[in-house]
Amino acid sequence: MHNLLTGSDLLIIMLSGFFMILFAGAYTLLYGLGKITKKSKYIKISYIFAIAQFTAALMMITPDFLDPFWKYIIMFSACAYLFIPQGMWWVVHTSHTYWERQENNKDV
Amino acid sequence: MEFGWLEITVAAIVISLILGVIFTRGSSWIEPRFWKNIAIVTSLVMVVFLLILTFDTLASIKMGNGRVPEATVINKKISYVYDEQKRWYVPKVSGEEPLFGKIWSEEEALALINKGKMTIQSKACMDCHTLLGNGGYYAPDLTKAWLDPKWNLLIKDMVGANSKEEAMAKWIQHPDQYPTFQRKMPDLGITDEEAKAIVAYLKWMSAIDTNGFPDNFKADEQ
Amino acid sequence: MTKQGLYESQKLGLWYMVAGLILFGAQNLFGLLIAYQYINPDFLFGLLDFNIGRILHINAMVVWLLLGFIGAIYWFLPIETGRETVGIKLGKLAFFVLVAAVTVVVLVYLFIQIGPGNQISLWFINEGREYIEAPRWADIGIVVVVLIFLYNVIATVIASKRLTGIMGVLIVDLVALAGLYLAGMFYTVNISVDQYFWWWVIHLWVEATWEVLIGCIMALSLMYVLKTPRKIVEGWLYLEVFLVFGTGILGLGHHYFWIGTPEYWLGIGGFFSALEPLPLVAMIIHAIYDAGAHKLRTVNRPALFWIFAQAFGNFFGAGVWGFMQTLPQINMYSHGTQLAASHGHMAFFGAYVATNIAVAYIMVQKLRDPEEKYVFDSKLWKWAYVLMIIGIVGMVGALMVAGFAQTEIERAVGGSGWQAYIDAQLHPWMAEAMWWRLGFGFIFFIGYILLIIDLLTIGKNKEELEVLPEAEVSHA
Ligand code: HEC
Ligand code: HEM
Ligand code: HEM
Ligand SMILES: [Fe+2]
Repeated sequence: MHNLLTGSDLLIIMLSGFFMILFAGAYTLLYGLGKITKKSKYIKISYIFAIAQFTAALMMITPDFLDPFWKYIIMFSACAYLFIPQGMWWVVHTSHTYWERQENNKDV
Repeated sequence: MEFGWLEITVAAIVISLILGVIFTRGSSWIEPRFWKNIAIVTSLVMVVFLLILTFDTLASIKMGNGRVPEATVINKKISYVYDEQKRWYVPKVSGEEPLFGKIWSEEEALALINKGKMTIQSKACMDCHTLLGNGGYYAPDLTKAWLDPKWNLLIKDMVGANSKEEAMAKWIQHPDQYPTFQRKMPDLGITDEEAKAIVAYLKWMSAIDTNGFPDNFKADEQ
Repeated sequence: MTKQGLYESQKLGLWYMVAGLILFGAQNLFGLLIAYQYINPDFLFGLLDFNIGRILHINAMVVWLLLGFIGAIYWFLPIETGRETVGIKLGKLAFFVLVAAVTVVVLVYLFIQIGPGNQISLWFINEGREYIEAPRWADIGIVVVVLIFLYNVIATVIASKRLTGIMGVLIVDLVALAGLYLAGMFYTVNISVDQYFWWWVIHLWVEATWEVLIGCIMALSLMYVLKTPRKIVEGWLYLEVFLVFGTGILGLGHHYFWIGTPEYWLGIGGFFSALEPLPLVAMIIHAIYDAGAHKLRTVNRPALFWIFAQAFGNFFGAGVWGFMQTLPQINMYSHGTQLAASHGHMAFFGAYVATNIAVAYIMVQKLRDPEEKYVFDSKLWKWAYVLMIIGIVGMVGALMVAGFAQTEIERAVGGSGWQAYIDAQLHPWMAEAMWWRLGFGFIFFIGYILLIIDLLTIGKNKEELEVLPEAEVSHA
C-alpha cells in the first residue's frame, strides 16, 4: 500500500471522510428542522448537504490509495446516508404520533 | 482461522437478521417489544462472535506462535522488511545477535523482558510515549525503537558506548543529560538492571508482527 | 437550601455529582498544566513530569464521569421505582470509601509518582496503563464500590416489584460495565495480550456500555424535562441499544489493527466501526423532533440545552472525528497522533461531560424549585455553555490541524522514527497548534468556573424567573 501513497492523498481521504459525515449530519439536522418547523426552505437546503455528502464520498475514493473493497463500502454508505435522515424521521415521527395518541386516549 | 474477515462479518449480520426475524414474529415494529428483541438478539450474536474471535486471536498472539515472538528473539538479529505480497512491512528474524554480549537462555530471556515490562509500567512510560501506537503523544512511538537508526548514528558516540544496546541502556538512564530535542525525557531513576531489561523489551517488541505499522519505517541497516 | 421532598437516594446522588464536578475542576487544571508543558517543557521538569500530570488529567476524567453517572442513577432511581433506594446506608459508606481511596491515589500520584520495576509498584503506586493507571489495590476498591452500587440498584428494583424497560437495560448494562473493568485488572508480559484486553475496558466502555448508560440517563431526563411518554422513550432506548451494540461491539476491531493481532481485524474493525456513526445520526433526528414537538418549552432551559449539546457533541466527537480515522488504511498513518487526542476530547466532552452537566441542572432545579413553579433559567448558564463549547471546539480544531501535520510528516513521509517525530513536532502547524490549544483550554476553564458559579446560584432569586403557565404546571 505504501508505494502508492503520497501525503496529499492521505490528507484528501481524511478530510473528505471528515466532511462526508459532517455533511451527512448537516443534512440530517436541516432535514429534521425543515420537517419540524414545516419550512420547505430548510429541506431544500438540506438536499444541498446531501449532495455535498455524496461528493465528499466521491472525493474519498478518487485517490488510488484505498483498496477497491473500502471504496465500495464508502459508496454504499454514501448512498445509504441519502435516505437515512428520511427513514429515521419517519420512524421517530410515526412512533411519536402513535404513542402520543394512545397516551391522550388514556387521559380521556 | 480458516475464515476470512468478510465471511465473519457477513455471518454476524445474517445470523442477527435471521434470529431477529424469528424472535420478533407477530409484533409490530412500533411496539417497544420489537426493538427489545432485536436489541437482545443482535447484542448476543455480537458478543458470541467477539468471544470466538477472542479465542482465536489469543491463540495466535501467544508468544512464539508466529505473530508475537518468543522471549529468546532477543538473541536474534531483527529487521523490518517490505513484503511484496502483503504490501506492507514485516519484521524479519535472522541469525544470532547476542544482547549485551550474551546469549540468554529461555528462562533468562523471559525473566529479563518481564522485568522490562514491569519497569515500563511502573514508570508510566506510556503516558508520554506510544507503544504499538497507543499511549501519550508527548514523545516518540517506541514500537520499533530498537531499529531506530539514531542509536548508531548519534547516541552511541554521544554517551560513549560500544554497542547499540549499551548506548540505549545508558541513554535511557540519563536522557536529560543527552537531549536531542528541547522537550527532554526526565531521569526516571532507572537502575542498570532495569535499563537492560527495557532494552531487551524494546528489542522483543520490535519483532511483533504489527500488520505493517509503522509504514515506511527507516530501519537501521546495521 | 431546602432539601425537602428529596429521597435519601437523591441526596446521595447529589453528593456523587458534587464530588464529580470538583474532580472535573482538577481534571481541567492538570490539562492546562500538561498543555503548558508542551510549550515550555522545562516547567516543573523533574518535579511533576508530563506523564504524571497526564495520568491525573485522564484519571480524574474517568472517575468524575463515573461519579456523575452513579449520581444520576441514584437521583432517578427512586423516581423510576417509586420508592427509597434499598441499602442507602451502604451506598453512603461506599461513597466515603471511594472519596478516601481517590484522595489516597491522587496523593500517591503527586508525591510518590513512580516506583521501581516490580509488582509492588503496580499494586501500590501506579499500574502504568493509560486511563486505568490506578494501582491494583484501588482497582479492587473500585470494583467493591461498584458492586455495592449494583446491589442497590438491583435490590431497589426487586423491592419495587416493577421492572421498567429502562431499568432492565440499565441493570444489564451496569453488569457488563463492571464486568469489563475486570478485563483490565491483570498483568502480562505480552504487550499484545495486554492491549487486547485493555481495549475491552476502554473501547467497550466508551463506545458500548457508557453510550447505553447515558442512553438510559437521557431517557430518564427526557421523561423528566420534556415529559415524553414512556413507550416512546423505551422503544427508542431499545433501538439505540441495537444500533450501539450492533456496531460498537465488533467495532472494537478498529483498535486491533496494529497491536500484533491477526489480519482479519483490519476488515472487521474497519467495517463495523464505519457503521458506528449510524446511531449518532439517529440521535440527532430524535433530538430535533423532541425540541420541535415541544417548541423548546421546558421547565429547565439549561438542562435542555445541555441535552442538545450532548446529541450534537456525541455525533461530532464520536461520529465525525471517529469516522475520519477509522478505516485501516488511513489509521495506519493517523494512529497514535494528535488526531486521536482531538477526537478523544470532542467525544468525551460531547457524549459524557454534556450528559453529566444536564443532570446536574436537573438536580439543582429540584433543590431550588421543588414544585416546578418556574421556568428554570439564568443568564450565566448561557455564558458557561458558550465558553465551554468554544473552548472545546477550539482545542479540538487546533489538535486536528496538528494531527494532520503529524500524520503526514511523521507517519506518512517520515516513517515514524525518533527524528521524524521531532521534525513533525517542530513544524509550525504542530508547534503553533499547541499555543492555540492552551488558549482555548483557558477559555474552557473560564467556562467551567462560570458553570460552577451558576450551579451554585441559579434559581435562588425567584424574581428573575419566569412563572410557568398554569396549564403546564398541571401537566407536570
Ligand atoms: C515525561 C515524559 C517521558 C517519559 C515518562 C518517558 N519518556 Fe522516553 N522520551 C521522552 C522524550 C521527550 C523523548 C525525546 C527526547 C530527546 O530526543 O532528547 C524520549 C525518548 C525516548 C527514547 C528514544 C526515542 C526513540 O524513538 O527510540 C526511548 C527509547 C525512550 N524515550 C524510552 C522510554 C522509556 C522506556 C520510558 C519509561 C521507562 C520513557 N521513555 C519514559 C519523554 C518521556
Ligand atoms: C482545560 C482544558 C483541557 C486541556 C488544556 C487539556 C489538555 C490535554 C493534554 C495536553 C493531553 C495530553 C495529550 C497527549 O498525550 O499529547 C490531554 C489528554 C486527554 N484529555 Fe484533555 N485537556 C482539557 C480538557 C479535557 C476535557 C474536558 C476532556 C474530556 C472530558 C479531556 C479528555 C482527555 C482525554 C480523553 C485525553 C487522552 C487522549 C488520548 O490519549 O488520545 N480533556 N488533554
Ligand atoms: C463517545 C464515544 C467515543 C469516545 C469517548 C471515544 C474516545 C476515544 C479516545 C479517548 C481515543 C484515544 C484512545 C487512546 O488513548 O489511545 C479513541 C481512539 C479512537 N477512536 Fe474513539 N471514541 C468514541 C467513539 C468512536 C467512534 C464512533 C469511532 C469510529 C467511528 C471511533 C474511532 C476511534 C479510532 C479509530 C481510534 C484510534 C485512534 C488511533 O489509532 O490512535 N471512536 N477514541
Ligand atoms: Fe474505539
